Amino acid sequence: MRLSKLVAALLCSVSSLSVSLAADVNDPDLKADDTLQSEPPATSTPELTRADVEAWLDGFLKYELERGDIAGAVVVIVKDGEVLLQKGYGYADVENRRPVDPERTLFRVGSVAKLFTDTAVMQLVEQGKVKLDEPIGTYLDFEVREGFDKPVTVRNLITHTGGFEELLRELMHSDPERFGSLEDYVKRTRPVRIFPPGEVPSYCNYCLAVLGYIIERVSGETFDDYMDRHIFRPLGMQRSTFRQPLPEAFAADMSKGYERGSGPAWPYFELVGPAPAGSLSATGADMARFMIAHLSAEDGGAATLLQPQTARLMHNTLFRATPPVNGMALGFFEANRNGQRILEHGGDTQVFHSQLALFMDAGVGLFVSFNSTGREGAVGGIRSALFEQFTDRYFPAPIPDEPTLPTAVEHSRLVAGRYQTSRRAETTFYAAVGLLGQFTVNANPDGTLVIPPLRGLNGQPKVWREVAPFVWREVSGKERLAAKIENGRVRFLGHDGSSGIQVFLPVPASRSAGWIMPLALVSAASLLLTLLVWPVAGLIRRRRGMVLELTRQQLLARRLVYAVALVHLVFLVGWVVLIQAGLSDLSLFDGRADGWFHVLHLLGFIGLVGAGVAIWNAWLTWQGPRGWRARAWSLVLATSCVALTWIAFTLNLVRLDAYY
Amino acid sequence: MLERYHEGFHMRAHAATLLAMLLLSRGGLAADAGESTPPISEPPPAPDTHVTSADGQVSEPRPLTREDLEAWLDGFMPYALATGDVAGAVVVVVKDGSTLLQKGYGYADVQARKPVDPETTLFRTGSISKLTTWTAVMQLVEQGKLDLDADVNEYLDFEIPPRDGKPVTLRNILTHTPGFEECLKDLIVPEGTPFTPLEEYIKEWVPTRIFPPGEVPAYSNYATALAGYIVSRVSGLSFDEYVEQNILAPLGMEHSTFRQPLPEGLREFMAKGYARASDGKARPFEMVLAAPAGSQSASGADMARFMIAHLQKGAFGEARILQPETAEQMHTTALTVLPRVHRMVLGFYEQNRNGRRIISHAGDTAWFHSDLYLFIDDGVGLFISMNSAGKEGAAGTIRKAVFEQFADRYFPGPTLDGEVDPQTAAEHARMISGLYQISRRPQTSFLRLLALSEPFKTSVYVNDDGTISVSAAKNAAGVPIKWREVEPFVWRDVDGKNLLSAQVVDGRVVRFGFEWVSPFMVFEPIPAAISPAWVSPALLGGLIALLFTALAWPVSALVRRHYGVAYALTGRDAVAHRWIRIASTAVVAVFILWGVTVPLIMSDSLSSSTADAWLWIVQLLSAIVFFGAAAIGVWNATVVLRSARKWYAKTWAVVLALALLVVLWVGLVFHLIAFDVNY
Repeated sequence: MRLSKLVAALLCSVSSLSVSLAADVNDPDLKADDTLQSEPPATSTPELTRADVEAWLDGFLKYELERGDIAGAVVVIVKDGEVLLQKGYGYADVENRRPVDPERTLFRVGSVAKLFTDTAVMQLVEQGKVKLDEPIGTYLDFEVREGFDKPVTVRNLITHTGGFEELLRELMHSDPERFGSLEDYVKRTRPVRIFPPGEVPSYCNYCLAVLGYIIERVSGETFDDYMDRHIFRPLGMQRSTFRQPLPEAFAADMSKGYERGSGPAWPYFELVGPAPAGSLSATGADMARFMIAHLSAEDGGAATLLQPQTARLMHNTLFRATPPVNGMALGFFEANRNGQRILEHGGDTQVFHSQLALFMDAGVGLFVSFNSTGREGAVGGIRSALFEQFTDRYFPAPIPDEPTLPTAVEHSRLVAGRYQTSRRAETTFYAAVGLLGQFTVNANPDGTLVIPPLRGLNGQPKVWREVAPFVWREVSGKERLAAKIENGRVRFLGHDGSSGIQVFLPVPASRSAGWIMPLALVSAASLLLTLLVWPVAGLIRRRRGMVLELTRQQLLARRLVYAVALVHLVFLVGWVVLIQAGLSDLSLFDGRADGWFHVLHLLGFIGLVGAGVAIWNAWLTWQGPRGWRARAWSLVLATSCVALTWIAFTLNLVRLDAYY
Repeated sequence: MLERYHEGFHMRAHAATLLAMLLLSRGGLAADAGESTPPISEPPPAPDTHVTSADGQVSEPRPLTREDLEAWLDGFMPYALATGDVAGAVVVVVKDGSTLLQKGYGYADVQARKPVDPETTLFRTGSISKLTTWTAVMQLVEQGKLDLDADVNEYLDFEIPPRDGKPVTLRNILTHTPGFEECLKDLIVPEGTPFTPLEEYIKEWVPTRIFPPGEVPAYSNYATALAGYIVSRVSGLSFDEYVEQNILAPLGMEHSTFRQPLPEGLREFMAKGYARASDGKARPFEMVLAAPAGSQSASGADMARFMIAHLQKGAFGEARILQPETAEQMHTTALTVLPRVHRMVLGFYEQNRNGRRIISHAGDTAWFHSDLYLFIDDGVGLFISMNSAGKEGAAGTIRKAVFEQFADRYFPGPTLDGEVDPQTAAEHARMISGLYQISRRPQTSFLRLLALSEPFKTSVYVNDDGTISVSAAKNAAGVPIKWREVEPFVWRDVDGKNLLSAQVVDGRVVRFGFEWVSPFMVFEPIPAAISPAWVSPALLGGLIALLFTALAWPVSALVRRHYGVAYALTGRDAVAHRWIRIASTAVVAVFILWGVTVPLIMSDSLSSSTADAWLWIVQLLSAIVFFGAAAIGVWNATVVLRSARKWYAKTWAVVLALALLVVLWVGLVFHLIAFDVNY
């Protein structure tokens, strides 16, 4: 997968542990085109019956699994406290032709697991053992990093507003031997705080790991035991577990995972470092029980899970960073559509992709999990389309008829510019990846906006039109986008599809990929050219019996610069290879590649010294009798080495430790 | 899938390719003309455990009700159209003599946001038009005015030359086995460009007959146009008039016509055609010059009438367009070329599935993509048409999946299965491996060059697990299908139901075909003389060598000037050196010209007369340059070899001579050197 695609993933995925849902943000020709997002109005509203929804799903999923190269899926729909439909599609194991069985087959639900952890925390809140607004230090036996004046509270952790940067190290393991306890993970992984708590949504697996650890500390049980005793057992979820590696009893029924259904199975059972954030394995049938419990909890239907007032607190406490755009409740993302109150959570591991949605007013729940990423990340589109079209079929509403505001042109200019996601790292190499993920919000002359990562089902960027001050709605669609304005400037943008997870922050000019990337590319190109041309020129000179007339010092400098150019390029290529490899298989970042990080860091320091050498060489060249071409090129080389060194340090490609 | 073939390469070939399908007889045996029944290749009873479908589950039949069908299609179509970037579609299902469901999805006109109305919105049905032409032919056969087995020259006022002494018959034409090469020039032109009438079109160029009649399925729009012309001559009416009076009117198809451009009263109903919905660019109405092969415009509701008439063996209400025996003859007379796989019946493709008899036809213009299926024993018909090609040929993928899943959902049944012992399977897989070309191909023009590219060239290879794959046969995800041998020389899609079958003569595979396209085209081993296995690398390598020589000319001059070195060669050596550089540069230049010309012609960017003039120039230049350069190359090599130059100079001279000979060879066998402009 291309690096840029991996990066793009981040921006679009519903909520991922991993970072691999692809969507191309690099499409250069974006035009304000009235793309097709919705169907002409349906004639009548079909009733949500088993027969209707099964036929509808058969039509939808069989083709999409085939087209998207996805091995298998499970779909569960609950209604009025009962399972309306649970059905497997495709294979749990392609090689052995084992079909998906909704009762037996276990899927990794990824971050949907967070709902269980959040529910457990709410149980402890209900019992008075944990307070939502208490600083987390109260419950911990270690300190999170310092930063800002405000402490991080339990509520911040639940709503992804702890303000921590994103770390990748030990997020995913393949080797049970290297895999430690939750306590080890939370104490060893100490992300830097980059936002004041409570203000900026920035998806946080670490936060959930800390919540899991708080559960352990407060309850006195291990996290896995707690979930077994207080969630799974009361709900009768007999084929679900957070335990890793997977207990023997479940192994035979675990679905294999696939990048593409036509390819080989993912080589290992994914061991999630921050387990409470995503280690759950569960059957479709068990997920139905969890959905029913939450749907009925407010009416006291599932007193075994949460008391009605706790359920109401969990479901209805909303944090919206960019109102009126969807925000998040305590643990659930708000995904309202067609006037329906909908709570949702997505979940992605590297190969499993899931979503759970609760239609709170209608008493309907929808859970879907896929065991493959599919062709060009097909699963992402399938999952969101399934949810949207299910909603539009059974709970239809017209696209709101709103006029475009007269301020559209003015406001579009205000928000136009370069942005980056809040879900990012500032002090690790991941900042370099973030650089590639920057995108530009474009203002069209008519005041509409185009935001490259926000695309319709056909892959074309959506077009946005201002319908309330600083609130935009997609043309011919229902999603909204809003800007938080402070002092006449954009603080950040939020979008219905992801604003619980991330917002988009303006990029300061000093960090703009708009000039950093070209500078890096031109510098690297001039070094590469030097590496290629000098030996050729040397050969020609030798054949023609000519020599460069240089002093010994100049000759030394010239040779050293050659070595420096080589070091810089090896450094860059090394990072590209390491990042590509790690983002293609996150378990490479379980610590075993730390040695490679150190090697690259060392090369970075050599490059720093090398920049000095390049400057020295330029100085010597200007002293001597060389022609203007040699002089100019020596300056180009010096500039390139200095630029690359500066970029390497700025993007944390040179550090002293293996923190990432 | 093969429909991809159209994708990507422009409109004429596109449309050409896309226009339709048929079936044939086992090598050399002409059609068992009179054989009236198709012994449906009922598979040997397969144990249930072996019956697998794509989703791994044995499906139970569902009653085909309007409610179930509509919910199923509502699940299928909207997202499939959205991801496929297809603007709009109409789907029609008829059952037991009436319409069960007709529904529009998406837009007939994206800009105007005009939804598809199944009752009135017109779609181009492409090659499904042929079914009307074939019906017309059979009406005249029924009246004794035409004989399926007579030489077509009996009905013509110009001559189709014999091949191997054999004429073309209407039966050959209805089974796509007249053996004509593909004919792409001016197949479809945009409305507004000069329009050649049918008579002029078919007389302008009779494509070369490259196969003996009745033996090799090779889809032919030209031959269909010929059949339409015969209908017109024998009936004394224009083709349009004949169809209106004898088919459209009796069936009450008021939103249908073959006329081009559209009659005034129908224009407002015409769906716009698109390459991709998201580009929002409505394309011009397509004028199909081979009109009887593909000029129909029709609404979904009208196609329901046509399907019902055929399902009822010619009867529609009070009207009757065919006698039952004629309809029966048309639906069941199959021509077997390859065992097991789908064949042509008279005008329809066989598309049997799950043990059910199904006949069908596909239709593609550049923008509109349609399929029509008749489950003749079940009284059910399915028609789908889309008004965009879509992303990566999505429309083709969608219609195929709609049919297969519809058939599997409502009419499940057993699929051929079996085992071949692993050694034999390995041996057979080895035998079928290699490079093939499709039977439906341009052969005597510069378009022969297409043989170097997919899917005109396709390769068959053995997978690690012993299955075979055909590079042109891909599943909906774009992954080559794996085929497992289920009986000697018959393979089945491991994840599906389609079969692939090979014909072996004297221990060698002489042709193979696979379901979905087997009725109307087959694959044959590529002859060594033009095999891409050596031609492509030799030509590419040769051109790179020539390019280096051409580029070295100015570069070495600059280097010499920079270092103040004198040019070292004198006399004959210098003359040869100069000429080889001129020859290399000229050849590279001519290939660049071809590289510009072919896409321009294929994309319809040139008017017909400009294209012809341009083609003349490039072909003549090729003749002069390729012959001249080859001579210079050989001469230069002899000069250099006899001189005292270093070994690498000698080697290079030989390389250039070989490169120039390869170029000449390519020029000759791929008809870059040619003296007419038909293609």
